Amino acid sequence: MPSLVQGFSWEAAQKLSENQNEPEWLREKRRAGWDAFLSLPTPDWTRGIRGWWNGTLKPLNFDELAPFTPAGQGELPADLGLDNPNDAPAGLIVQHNSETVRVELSEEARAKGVVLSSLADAVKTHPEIVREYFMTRCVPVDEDRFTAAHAAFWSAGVFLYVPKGVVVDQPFRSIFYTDQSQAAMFTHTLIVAEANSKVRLIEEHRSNGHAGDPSVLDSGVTEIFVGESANVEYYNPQEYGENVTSLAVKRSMVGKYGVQRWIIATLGGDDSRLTLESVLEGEGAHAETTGLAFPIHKQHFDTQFRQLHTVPHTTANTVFKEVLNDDAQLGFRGGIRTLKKAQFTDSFLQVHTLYLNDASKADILPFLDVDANDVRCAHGATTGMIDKDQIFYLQSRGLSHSEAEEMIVAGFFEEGIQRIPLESVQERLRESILVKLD
Amino acid sequence: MADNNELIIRDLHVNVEDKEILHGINLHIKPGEVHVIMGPNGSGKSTLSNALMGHPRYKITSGELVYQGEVINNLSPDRRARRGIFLAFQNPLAVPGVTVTNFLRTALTNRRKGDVAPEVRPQNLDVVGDRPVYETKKASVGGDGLLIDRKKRQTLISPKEFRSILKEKLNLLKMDEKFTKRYLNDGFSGGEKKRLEVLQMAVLEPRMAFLDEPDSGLDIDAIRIVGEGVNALRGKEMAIVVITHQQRILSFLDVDYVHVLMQGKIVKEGGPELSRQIEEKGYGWIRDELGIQPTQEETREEVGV
Repeated sequence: MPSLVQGFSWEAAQKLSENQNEPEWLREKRRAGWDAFLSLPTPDWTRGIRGWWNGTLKPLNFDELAPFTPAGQGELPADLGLDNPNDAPAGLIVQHNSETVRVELSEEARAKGVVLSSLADAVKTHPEIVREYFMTRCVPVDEDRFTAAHAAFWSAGVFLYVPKGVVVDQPFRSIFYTDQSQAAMFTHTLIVAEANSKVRLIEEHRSNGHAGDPSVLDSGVTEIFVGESANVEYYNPQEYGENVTSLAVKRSMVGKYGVQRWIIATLGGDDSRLTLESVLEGEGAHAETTGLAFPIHKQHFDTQFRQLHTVPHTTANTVFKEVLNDDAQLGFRGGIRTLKKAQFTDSFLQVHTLYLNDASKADILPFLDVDANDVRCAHGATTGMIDKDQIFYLQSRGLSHSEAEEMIVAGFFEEGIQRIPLESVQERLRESILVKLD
Repeated sequence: MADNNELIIRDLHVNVEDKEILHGINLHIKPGEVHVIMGPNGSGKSTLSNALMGHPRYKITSGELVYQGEVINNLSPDRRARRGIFLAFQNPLAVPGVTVTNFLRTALTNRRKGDVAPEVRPQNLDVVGDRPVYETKKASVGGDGLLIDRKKRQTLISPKEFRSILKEKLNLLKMDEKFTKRYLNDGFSGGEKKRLEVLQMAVLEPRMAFLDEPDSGLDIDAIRIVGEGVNALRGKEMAIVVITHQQRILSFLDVDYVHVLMQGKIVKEGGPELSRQIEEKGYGWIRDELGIQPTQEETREEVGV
């Protein structure tokens, strides 16, 4: 597919739609997205005590960003370990820039009726499913200006469908990689897990850029539907280069007795903003969320988290762990929201923040917003420097000050990392954290 | 580096937050000896052990620590450890997420390397005005240049060799291998923490081991286990210094010298019989004999308030 015109325009979206031969309903969706993009304001994220928190995005020049960039000839990074025989996933899908370049599905998963394809293909092969779930009630087109742009310009994407009763223990893997400067990526992942199914997806965001390179935007959306008694695990190391503005909206709709597990590790990006929510909309639903973040240099991370309980007897446990260094800034605003009828909710939110220096800043705001009157909801937050006595203890065994610090920070993240089901991904994440500590 | 593994403490004065706690300690500890430093609460025992290990909060204001023929007053704790000094903590700290195995493998690697002057880290900061400018190409997540440097720099003992060392020490101390897969002191009981300190000592094979209250908070069975563990590690080359205010662990250890620490000074020295006297009569008689006024804390403790 040829590269499209530079800049955000309705013509660009239209051309994208024409090239893909998209059905009318989808074209209308793009149009709705484009209209909303024009009418919605850029979200203002300034906030914080005495207004010091500057959450506003660096200005993005939409005229200079290309909403579609072809895969080109570039190589994928070798350390992805795509062909590591020890870590064979149940399926693999790779999106390079705005195009899907590789799709593999194990025989076993295929035989069970699992579908792993690009979302663009799924529009043709599974139109009813895509039409029902794609940017409808999970992440609506007009949620904010960037989801609107996403609806107008998305391409390729990941579609993972697991039929009723199908259990796949081996994780699936999806990779979004960009090596284009001044590209706008609109990475989309749609997971639909039918009743009694089980699926795990490891999704990685990577790029080859560095701080100071021309900027790249990824306005990504992840939508997950967890059916009755289904179990979905979603692991997401985001390791973009420090020239990428990453605005990710991830939401899961969890049905009766369904379980959603998230591990989101935000390491990369210049501005990285994550909106994360589990909507527990079926009785007995449960969500487990682990968020890891490690901004350094001038990285600027922001998390909006919501754990939403809408019906009785739902449970959730959420832990965020964050480490800051250099001039990094980190904002966290997250809470447990319980609707009036959501009695017997049991939900816990913790946020732990570790500073490695004096210059970095964090603004941590956990909250409870509870309308039901018979629930157990609690939150807790800790912030501070590394315990000096801990460092002394490790030093007394012969570790240098920096080795001790590295070990403590690595340990701080380890409890999240070790739950990721592919060892090669674990190893790489550990390595990335150590590199950031250097 | 001298082969002479003696530790000579000469007129050591130590401040904690500008208050002098130790008022001139003199001790001479030779390889193979077992010393006990006893004293009531608040006499300065923990200050002494922290100062010996180089805790930054404990400042040596005068006097000398001489080890292996060199003054080590200003050596960082890790460099002391690499030279063979070890401190078993009274309250070992938990480090969640770090397994005992991983930690000990790094620690043993460093111990074997011995003391090296601190490496000068590559400067990757430029300062423009008063703000640092980060050379982010190298350090950014995507870059791989640094990755290779890191691997070169860190050549740990091979997992196979380390496993066999660890297994040998676990057997020696009759400890379960499960111990080593857990996170360092995280969720450990008091007894487990003390045993882990002994295991670390066994693996690191120090020349000069200080045990700070190895028996505090333990029941008699746990004390026996720790005491027998320490006994198993004794050797001609290693000196052991037990710092304690009670004598329960001493029934499991053969002691050569006993020093009594009171109000920041060594006030009395003797052989094992001295610890037995203290066991029977407490510390009051020493004060009476030497004409030392009890501090408020000592009075409270002895009256049992």
